[in-house]
Amino acid sequence: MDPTRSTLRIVGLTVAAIVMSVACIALGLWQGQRTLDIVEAERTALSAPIPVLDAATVQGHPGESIGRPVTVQGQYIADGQRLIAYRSWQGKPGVWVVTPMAVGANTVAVLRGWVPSADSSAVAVPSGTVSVSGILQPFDDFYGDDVVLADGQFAAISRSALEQSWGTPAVSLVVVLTDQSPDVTPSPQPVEPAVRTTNVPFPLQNAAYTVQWFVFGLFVWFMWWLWLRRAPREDAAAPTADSLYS
Amino acid sequence: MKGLSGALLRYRIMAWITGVLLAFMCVFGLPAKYVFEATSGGFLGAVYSIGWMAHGWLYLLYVAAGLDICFRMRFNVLRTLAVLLAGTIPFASFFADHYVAKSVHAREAEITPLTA
Repeated sequence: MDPTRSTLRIVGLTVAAIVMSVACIALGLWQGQRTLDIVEAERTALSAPIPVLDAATVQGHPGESIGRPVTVQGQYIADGQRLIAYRSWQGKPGVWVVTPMAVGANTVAVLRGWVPSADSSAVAVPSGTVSVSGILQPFDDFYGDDVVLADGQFAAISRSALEQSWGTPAVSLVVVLTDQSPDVTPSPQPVEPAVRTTNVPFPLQNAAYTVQWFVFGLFVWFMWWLWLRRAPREDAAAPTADSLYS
Repeated sequence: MKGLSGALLRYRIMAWITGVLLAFMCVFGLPAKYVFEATSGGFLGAVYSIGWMAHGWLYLLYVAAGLDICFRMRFNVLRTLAVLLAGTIPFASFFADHYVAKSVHAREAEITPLTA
């Protein structure tokens, strides 16, 4: 092989390697962007409210339902309302108001909000069908069953204690009210949900492809180097034609 | 041509591994995802994702082994590209494997009488 042809081949190979590695980087960036887009889309999907029974049932809930915005439509069950003792709002002492809501055949615990005291007029339960939007939160189950205080108030939003006092199973998450229609005044001051989550399934496959494409980009240069190192030696040694079958 | 049979063996092993995995992913994996929609999570979803990720990395090894044998055989660019791309098309790697093996054996048969 004469030197000009050999130089031409090296130049050609180098150009090919540049093109291929740039393509690999572009594909890697594309998959990386896709990974971010998928996470973003999943988060957007999670932040759109869905009917409460699609997110949690009496049987349980998937992990991503915690912190999820939901809508609840039903009737409050006034005699099931319980007060959660010793809750402050902006430094003021008070209680939380938890009211069960009948949603079809299910019972959903709604944390309507904070009131300064048990005899506040805001504890009055709205009648008729109401639409509530809120955030799903776990029950305070870690306090155990023994949460009913001497005055009938609860020390925590315990699922088992509430279910016992209501005589019916409740949906496995609490709706922390953020908005209600029709709007009733006075109504309890909505409280801030404790748990907000942005946990969504991570698109591991796309993330792995991102890494893979970058490694491919490096690999192109590794192969380029191998070829440069080997090509002249084999040129000298190869006794046969370029290809047997061409 | 010392090392040619070793390079061929390496190539054939990678061609079979990537070929079988790719065939499996296409024959069982794709219907599981797009027809039965059974891969949105859980065990099948994990197998599906890992299968494709593994194919990506194995394909890298396939390309390494493929380039090695193509360099050694001094295939032209189109032939080399065909061998490399065969690792991404279902069942094509089996044909590529057969073709490469046949070429190597023919080359070896050609050389052996000369050196013997």
